[in-house]
Amino acid sequence: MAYTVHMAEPVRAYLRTLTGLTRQGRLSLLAGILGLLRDHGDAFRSDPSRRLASGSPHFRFDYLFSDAGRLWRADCVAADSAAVYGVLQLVYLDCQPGT
Amino acid sequence: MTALLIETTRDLTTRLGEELKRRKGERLQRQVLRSLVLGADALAGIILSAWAWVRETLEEEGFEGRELARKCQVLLDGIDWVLAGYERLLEMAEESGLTPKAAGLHELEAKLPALREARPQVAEALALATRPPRPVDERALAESRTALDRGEFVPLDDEYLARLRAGEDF
Repeated sequence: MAYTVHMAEPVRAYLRTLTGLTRQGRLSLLAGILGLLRDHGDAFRSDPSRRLASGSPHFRFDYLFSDAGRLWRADCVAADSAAVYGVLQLVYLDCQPGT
Repeated sequence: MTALLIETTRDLTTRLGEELKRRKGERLQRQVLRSLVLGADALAGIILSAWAWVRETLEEEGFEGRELARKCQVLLDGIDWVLAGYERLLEMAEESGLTPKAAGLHELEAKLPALREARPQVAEALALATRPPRPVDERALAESRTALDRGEFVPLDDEYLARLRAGEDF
């Protein structure tokens, strides 16, 4: 199933204030997260090891990319409480550069 | 395409490893040694092509963490095998009374600097992809839940990305 993705406003605010990433890097990050949730959401949702806790509506996934020659890792959490309507919600983002 | 390169890297690393083990202690004919060297050289070329693709994809599209980890582990195992395998093939050539050139090792030797350069980069990507995630900030998570309940969200879709690409603020 291809999902619609909603990004919570605090996640958007986090991305706006995140330092170290270029504008292109932010775009790559959002496009990558969208691609993963939209196209692989079902696989993430059905993997119990990705749930924050048993029965939790929240599941995590990581996205790795390169920006201006530097590797970055984004730890993401999405909620699937509205998945029945075809919607996944991006509720948490923690983005760090590699060494 | 890359899945094919990665699978080939894994399979060839395993096959060559088994073949070298099987031939241990044998005095090899030139033809046999040449085929092993050709295999190792092909593996080195495939690894370098696959790593170039992984780097390009990291810049253009990115990877899901576990997917990147799987690819990097295969590449790292392949690089380590080729670096050690080269030394072993040199020994085997000597034991068989062949010069490195006669055994065809010069082509493989020319790829070793690129493999040595790639190794720490592959290892860095693997370490980042397998690093345990930091604990989730529960307060930030709760803020997002509250915001969503209030309808405070943006649809993350191609239209939104197009507006950002056109210069709209994040």
